[in-house]
Amino acid sequence: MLNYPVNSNDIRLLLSEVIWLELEDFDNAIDNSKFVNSEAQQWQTYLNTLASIGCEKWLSTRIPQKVICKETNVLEDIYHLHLGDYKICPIAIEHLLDEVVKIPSSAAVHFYVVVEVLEEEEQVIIRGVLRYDELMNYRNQFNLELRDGYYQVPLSLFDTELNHLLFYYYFSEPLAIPLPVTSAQSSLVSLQRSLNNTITKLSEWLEGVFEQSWQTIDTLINPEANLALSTRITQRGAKKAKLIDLGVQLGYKTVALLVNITEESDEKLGVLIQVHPTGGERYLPPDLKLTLLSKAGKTLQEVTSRLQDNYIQLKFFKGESGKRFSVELSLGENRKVKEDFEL
Amino acid sequence: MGLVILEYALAMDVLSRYWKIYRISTSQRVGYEHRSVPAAQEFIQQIHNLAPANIQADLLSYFGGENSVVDVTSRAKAGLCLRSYVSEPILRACQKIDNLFSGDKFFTYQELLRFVLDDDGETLIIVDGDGKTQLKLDKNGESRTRSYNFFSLKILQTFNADLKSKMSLDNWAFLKTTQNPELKDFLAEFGFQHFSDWALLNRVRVKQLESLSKRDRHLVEVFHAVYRRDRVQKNSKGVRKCPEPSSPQMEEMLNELQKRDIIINSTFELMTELKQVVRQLRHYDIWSCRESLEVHDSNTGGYTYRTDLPINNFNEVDIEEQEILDFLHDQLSLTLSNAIMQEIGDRINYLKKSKHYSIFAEQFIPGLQLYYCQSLSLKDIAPQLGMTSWDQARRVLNPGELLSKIRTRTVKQVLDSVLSKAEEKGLTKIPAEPEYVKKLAEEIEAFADEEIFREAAEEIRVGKGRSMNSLYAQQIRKYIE
Repeated sequence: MLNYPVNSNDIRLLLSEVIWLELEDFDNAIDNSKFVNSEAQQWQTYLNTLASIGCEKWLSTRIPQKVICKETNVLEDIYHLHLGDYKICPIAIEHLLDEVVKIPSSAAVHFYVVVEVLEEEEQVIIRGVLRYDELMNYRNQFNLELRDGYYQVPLSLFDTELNHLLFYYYFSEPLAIPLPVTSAQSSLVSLQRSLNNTITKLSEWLEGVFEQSWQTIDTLINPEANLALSTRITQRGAKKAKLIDLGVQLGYKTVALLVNITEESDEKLGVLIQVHPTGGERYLPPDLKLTLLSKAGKTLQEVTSRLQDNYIQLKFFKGESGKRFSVELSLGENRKVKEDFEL
Repeated sequence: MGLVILEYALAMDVLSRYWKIYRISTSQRVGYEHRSVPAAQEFIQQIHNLAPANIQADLLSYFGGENSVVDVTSRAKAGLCLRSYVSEPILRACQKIDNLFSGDKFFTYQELLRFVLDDDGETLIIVDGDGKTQLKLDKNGESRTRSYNFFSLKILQTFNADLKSKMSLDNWAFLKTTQNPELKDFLAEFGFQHFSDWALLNRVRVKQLESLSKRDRHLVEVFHAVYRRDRVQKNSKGVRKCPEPSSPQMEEMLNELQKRDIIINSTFELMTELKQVVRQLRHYDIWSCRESLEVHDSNTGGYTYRTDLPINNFNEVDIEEQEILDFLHDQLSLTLSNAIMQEIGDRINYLKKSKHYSIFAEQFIPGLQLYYCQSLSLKDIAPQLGMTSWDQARRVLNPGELLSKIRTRTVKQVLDSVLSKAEEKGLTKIPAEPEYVKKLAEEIEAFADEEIFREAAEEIRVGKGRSMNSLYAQQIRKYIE
């Protein structure tokens, strides 16, 4: 029998896991929050990014041989980290004085990690870890109810001994913590796939064949807020818009990529490409770059949004049927979305 | 050797809480000591022999003088037992508050102890019939009023075990400690000193908003809308301190407030009002939770403790003592020096590759020497290593992180061997169940912390005049000298 009291979290009162943030981390977080429309959400996204960076740093110094992958749920503003087959959701919090942690119910991951973000002090502190099965046990035992999509759980439910997260990784297995299969995750995969791999055949549009992901403009863009649309675009031809989720890292459907295609006299097809804000927004996020790329990836044209642009567009161009090109939308270094087209 | 985790309680372990008291102590590095109270020990053994079933209820009944046959000395001694008992939740509450504040705050829990852990563990005291006055007993059993009242006794005086809510004495002590007025005053003064006014406003959440007046809530919301937006939109440019809001920001806030029918005439007035809100925010009350300390358990219909509160832990590894102790001892000493070597090496490699700190990679070992051999503070070390600031020294040397990583590596290696041993015996498979890993890790951590790491962590936290004498510090020195 051991004579030591088992109070493993005692030492954690003395020895917390502090991670220092560097300038580029803040830049990264600022970049990320630019996509977000609502101001309240913007701050949270900013904190979430810092938390996620901190958590990633912590893991990568503790398990240096393993690559930690980042992923964001497109539909929610939730970051996931992948550690092997384990999924980890960092939860950003600015202070713990009220001792309550909100866990998004849509994030079914193996581990929730509470990350305190001390923004002004350039630190994040990893505060505790909770396994999915522990959360579920608690939910069942105390009839925990959902509030606005969140479980509010006491901080005390979290294991302050963060080493345990590492030990699960080393000595246990992901299958020992079964997760529900959620549709959100599968839709994430399919959306990414459609963004990455599909080539849109524009000539088919003239025959009235549209892929599901392309929609009529009215459903995406508030026509009243975008009077420019009706005046600037010729009414003839097929025009469709597609919601582009900038960066995929964030769940905000911020802009619409609008493609207008017309039959020209010389058996060529004419293409006009614009980017508009959606969701009632008047302006595009600044520094949004729209680039036309050749099949080989060479830049043919580009345009960048300024502070208060209602929309941006590429110069009208023509091409022969069968010709391929790509359009890239980018915001900062890290967020790029590419769409491939064939005339 | 059965490495089976069993649930059992050892009576004497539980009882020792009634005769071992946490007392404030200036001679101890940690600021308190845990010492036996002979009079309490004697008394508890008497009671235990008479009625082992419900010690606490008996003690409370003796202390309260409910039975007129009980003499005053017995009452006082029962009180002494209970005072010892509540000293633990008092200490834990202080540590907990310290931990919740986090960041580079200007106080430690040791500074909180003097407000609440003021019991000497000796003076025999009873509480007067009205339950309000503390009376000191002299050698002849005569009682007289005291001018100074121990906080532990105030806890006992206000505790009502028969109350319907049935809050345990542990939780009552915890709650009363967090609500101690002197302690709260201290926190109001020092708790948030390291935050600028604007950072403090920034981190207000819904829970805190609820405790502000309606007008103040509007002020904070408008402040958030403008200030947070600009903070994430401006390029960072190296300045992280939250600056005072600019005049355009203040003008915008005024406009927004006007839309909410709050008329403030000038930015000067707005500033005054915002600062007034900040003054409120500097009080701990606004931040602390009003969550109940015990949670309702639908299975039993009773209440269970929140897991962070002091409880008697009955989970221990049931093993033949000497064998496992020897085994763990061997493992620990084997792994510690190895872990130190590995982690220091890793850290230097990490610094070499780091974008910002590679120039300091060569300074890591000299830095550790100054820290662990000459007991210099990071502030004093910084210029000696050619660093520009304390901040830089903290980021590069980071003795806390090194300790934490060495602890992780040590525990991991011991856990690895123990798990293999358990697998050999057919007690678990590998990969193991997470709960099994957790329980076993907790045992090993408790052991390793007691033997090595707690002391090492405490000596890092001590500010001025520290000396690095822990086993860990010795091992580090062996490696770097």
